[in-house]
Amino acid sequence: MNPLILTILLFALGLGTTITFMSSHWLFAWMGLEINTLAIIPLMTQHHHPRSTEAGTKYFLAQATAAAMLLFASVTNAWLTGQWDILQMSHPLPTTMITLALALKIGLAPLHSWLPEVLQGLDLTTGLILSTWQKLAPFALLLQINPTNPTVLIMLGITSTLVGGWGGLNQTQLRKILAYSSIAHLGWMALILPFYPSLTLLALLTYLIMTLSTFLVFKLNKATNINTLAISWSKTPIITTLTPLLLLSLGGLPPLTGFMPKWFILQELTKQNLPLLATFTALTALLSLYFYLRLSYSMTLTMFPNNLMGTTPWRFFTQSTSLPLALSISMAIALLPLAPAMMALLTP
Amino acid sequence: MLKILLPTLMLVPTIWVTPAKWLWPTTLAHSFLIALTSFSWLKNFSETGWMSLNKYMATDALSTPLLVLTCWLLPLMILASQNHTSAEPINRQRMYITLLTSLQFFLILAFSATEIIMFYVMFEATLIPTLIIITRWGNQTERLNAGTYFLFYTLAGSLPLLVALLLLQNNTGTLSLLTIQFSDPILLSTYADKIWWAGCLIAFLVKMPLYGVHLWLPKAHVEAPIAGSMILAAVLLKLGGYGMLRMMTVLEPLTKELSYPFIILALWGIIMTGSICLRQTDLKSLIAYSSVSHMGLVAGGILIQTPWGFTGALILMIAHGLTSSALFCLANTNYERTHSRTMILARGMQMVLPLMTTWWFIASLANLALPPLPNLMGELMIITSLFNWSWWTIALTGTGTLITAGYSLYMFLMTQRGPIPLHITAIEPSHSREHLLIFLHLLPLLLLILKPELIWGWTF
Amino acid sequence: MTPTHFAFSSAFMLGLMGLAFHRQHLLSALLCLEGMMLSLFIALSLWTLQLDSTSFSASPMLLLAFSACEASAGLALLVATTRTHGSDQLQNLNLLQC
Repeated sequence: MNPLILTILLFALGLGTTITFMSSHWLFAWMGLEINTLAIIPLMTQHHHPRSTEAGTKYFLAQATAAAMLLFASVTNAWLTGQWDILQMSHPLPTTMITLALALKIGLAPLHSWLPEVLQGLDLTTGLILSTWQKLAPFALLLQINPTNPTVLIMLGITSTLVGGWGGLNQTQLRKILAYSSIAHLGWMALILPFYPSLTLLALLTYLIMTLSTFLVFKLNKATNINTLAISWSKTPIITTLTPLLLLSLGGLPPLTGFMPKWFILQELTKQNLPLLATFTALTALLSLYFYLRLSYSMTLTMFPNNLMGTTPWRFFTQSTSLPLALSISMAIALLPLAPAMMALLTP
Repeated sequence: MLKILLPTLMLVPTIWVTPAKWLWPTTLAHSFLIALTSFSWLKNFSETGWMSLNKYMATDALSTPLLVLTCWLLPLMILASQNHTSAEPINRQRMYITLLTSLQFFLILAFSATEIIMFYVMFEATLIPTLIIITRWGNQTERLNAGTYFLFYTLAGSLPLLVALLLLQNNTGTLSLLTIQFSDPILLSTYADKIWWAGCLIAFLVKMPLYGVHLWLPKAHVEAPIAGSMILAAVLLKLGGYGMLRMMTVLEPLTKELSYPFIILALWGIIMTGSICLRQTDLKSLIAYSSVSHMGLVAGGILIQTPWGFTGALILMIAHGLTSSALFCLANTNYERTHSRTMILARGMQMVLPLMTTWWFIASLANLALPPLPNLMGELMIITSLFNWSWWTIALTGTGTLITAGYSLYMFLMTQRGPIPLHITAIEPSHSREHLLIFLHLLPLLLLILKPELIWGWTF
Repeated sequence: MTPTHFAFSSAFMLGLMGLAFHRQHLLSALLCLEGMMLSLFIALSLWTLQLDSTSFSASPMLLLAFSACEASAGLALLVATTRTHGSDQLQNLNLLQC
């Protein structure tokens, strides 16, 4: 792609999210989301390949529908209450519709089915943008609307953690696995949103860090399915050693970073007198843990039998910069002792 | 606490900086020094029971023996792993010792934590090094299956525990072990409280393991390399017993009725797993099932909540930790020579490794609880207190002891006596490293009988 | 609920129903999206007219501009999909399922 066009697109991508962040008017927020969507579609379809075109089309349909529903809900809100302000949502009907529209936008189950397919059609960089940066704008809106009815979010949350764990079990493609992992993590965030929005932010932040480093690791290895991971030890031995920790952190095993949001979320749920919900959600995390464990098995914990050609890549000097990867992977593994600082940072 | 923790952490730079030639001796010496320093915990002169108190950690009579056992096990693991990793590249050897060290670090934090949540986090944190030890350094392909079983059995039990602990925190406002026994007793009456009770204990019962949820243990033991088997049998199972002993004070009014099924299961498990041992062909699997059987006794002793039961449980935990670890080491010496765990393929070892037979003899006797070893003391105290609780239990525990004696004898006779199979032609002689290893297991066991109040726990 | 509100709501809902349940051609999906956008356009213009607010009068035009952009992006994707998949049948978009 022409670097000038790429710059403009990336700039528009940032602009859209920023507009949504700073808007207080629903129309403005909608415009930001639209700019965002329109900017990423050329990035998605930059390789003229049937898969990427298909992914772009599917993404476009889902996002356009979600944006239209969002605007429709806010118009309805305006007609019902005369209010366009994002922070002033009071009527339950438009609030629920907006929640559902945003759920479609970020891919919460049962509105998730586009996400694995779209992510599978993208290259890893665009996939990284899709699963990190594109979640920010909808979450900014979700955090701002005042959920009068927590049942919707709780139902979305439980279904997502369950579907995210269940769907990933049968996958061999890394991007699909990451998509399901994203669905499961988003489920946790949606679940705690009605009770303690700061924890949603915390969960989102840790999810972003962990997903960033996972995508960077896969990008470094040019890996798109599980089998490709098996020879990563010959390319990047140290990263290969650290990746199981990273994956288990995604799965939420103490004492790694991924345990922090889960711990706080469970604590808040028990404080709200919902211990059964907490136990159920905690147990659905085991489903996701299974496929992370499978990834680490094939990547690090087994030595894949290889012919001589398969083990040569260590001879080649890699050009890729590893500083962002080093930073993000150490944050994705060892942030748990900093939990009080993180909470102080995110609580208003 | 830091005088142990910091040297443990500093072991990691030692591992990575030491020249390859001196890697094993240096780490061994370093970890031995740590173990010797940890003996200073044993002198408990505090009136409250809590010693070496700081903001997050402390030791008391219950945790000290387990802490010292943990520190004692690291040099032994390093000693035991030297041979089977010698074919690996040096960096992998260093990585392996680093893993063992991190395991010790987490275990010290777990046993010395004064906050139950801290204990929980460290309890879970030990899963990761253990998982990597089992699945990365095991030998057969089944190790992946074993690792999955290990991880998921433990986590499925302990995630409800996390929720239960958070609920407890909400009710009492504290989870500090120092104060929780002085907080107001919780009114436990509803149906939900019974589930909460189960949630508090099942994680530890799975870890222990109780008969019925023990399936992960033989798999993990059989597939793990020697250091993994040692630490698993010696210390990791004891995390379950330790957690139960700590939680029992909180669960007070409910345990009396609700513990019946678990006691029955534990005692029935002694007989069942003992019978499995009697017809076992796989040496490591036999020792693993014998662990399940002994830990069933420990679970029974803890669940009836008498001082004798608690003391017996702690004594048996320590004694069994040393004994089963020694047995795994002995099994490994056979394995490294014959490359098979099948007992029928490695008979008559007395003819080729006579001194090893002595060690086998002592370890088997310790396993079947021969006087005057602390194993007997522990079993006797538990059996007595169980008998006092209900005299029907003597049928189960008595049969269990008989079966234990039976399979220990079976193990000894199968491996040591009889003719040497024809396929064993040239066998390596035993090394003094191996003799030292077993000696260092059995020496504390023999010495402990001279001063058993070190491992008596609260009742002294 | 006023009749106007009912009118644009039902128009939007019809469009959404069409998008959700009539999944044959990509073009028809795009048309449904356009229908939804037009109903929103009507809603916004009516809101402006009803309140006689000058400050809000630009909003229908903004909406129209954005929906035109969206439609053009959709049509571009339609062309691209037709070229790569051979037709605009939505059931042909099955390369990524597994």
